[in-house]
Amino acid sequence: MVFVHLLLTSLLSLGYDGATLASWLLAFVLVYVLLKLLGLLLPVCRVYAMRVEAGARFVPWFTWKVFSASLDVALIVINPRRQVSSAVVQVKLDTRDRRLVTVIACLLTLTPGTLALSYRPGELFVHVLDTASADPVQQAIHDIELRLMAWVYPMGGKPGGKHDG
Amino acid sequence: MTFWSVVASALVLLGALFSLLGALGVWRLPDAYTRMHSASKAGALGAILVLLGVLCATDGQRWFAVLLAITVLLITAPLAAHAISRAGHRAGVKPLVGPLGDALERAGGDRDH
Repeated sequence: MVFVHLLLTSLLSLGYDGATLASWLLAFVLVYVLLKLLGLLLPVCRVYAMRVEAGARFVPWFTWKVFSASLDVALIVINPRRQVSSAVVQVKLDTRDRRLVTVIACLLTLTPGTLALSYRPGELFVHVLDTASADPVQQAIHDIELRLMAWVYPMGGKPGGKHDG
Repeated sequence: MTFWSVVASALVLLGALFSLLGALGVWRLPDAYTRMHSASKAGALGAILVLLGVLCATDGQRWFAVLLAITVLLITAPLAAHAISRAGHRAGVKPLVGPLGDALERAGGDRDH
């Protein structure tokens, strides 16, 4: 489904003015609206449209998280008297899907201040740059997981076999 | 001096600043793992900001190359950081930890499953 979307978008913007960034983005939104309308008839399109919405919410949220965490780490690094107290904490994960766990660990490692060290089914070991307790880390990871689940499985619940959009 | 060239300069400068902070972190932080935080993330984020600056400076003509480069950076940076620090932990490099301690070591260390 995501390929259909990208293909239609690229064709539309190519036909319009040779695929500049602006026309591509415009075409992306147009095709999304089209699919959203089609979703009134086809459940596949409806689920896909919900997925695009969750993705559109996730990306800015995550970018903001990364930048606010960067600021925290930058403040730690510039302050010469600040001593970090790092730790390896154990964090519970709800999902057992190894692909999802991989994505969560990658996103976690992208966020400054946390680094995924090891995984066992149901739990993740995270190295934290500077923390006084494990709770904020658990909370942050749970947040990432919830929002990612809303993106990947927009209808909620346990998914079937089909995974691509 | 158009609007976009100002934005581009700001983004490139910000990216350079990020990379500098990363280098400072490698110099200042105490052990291998905390340095890995600094080396992997600050470098990747700095490079992404510089690439976005390039995108603005070229009026969006190089958007595909920029998008590709950012995607590759976003995938490789965390994977490399994870692989190196996990290898370090398996090889027995002890993290310098605060009062919370090392939960991975308490749980019996890293092992294959």
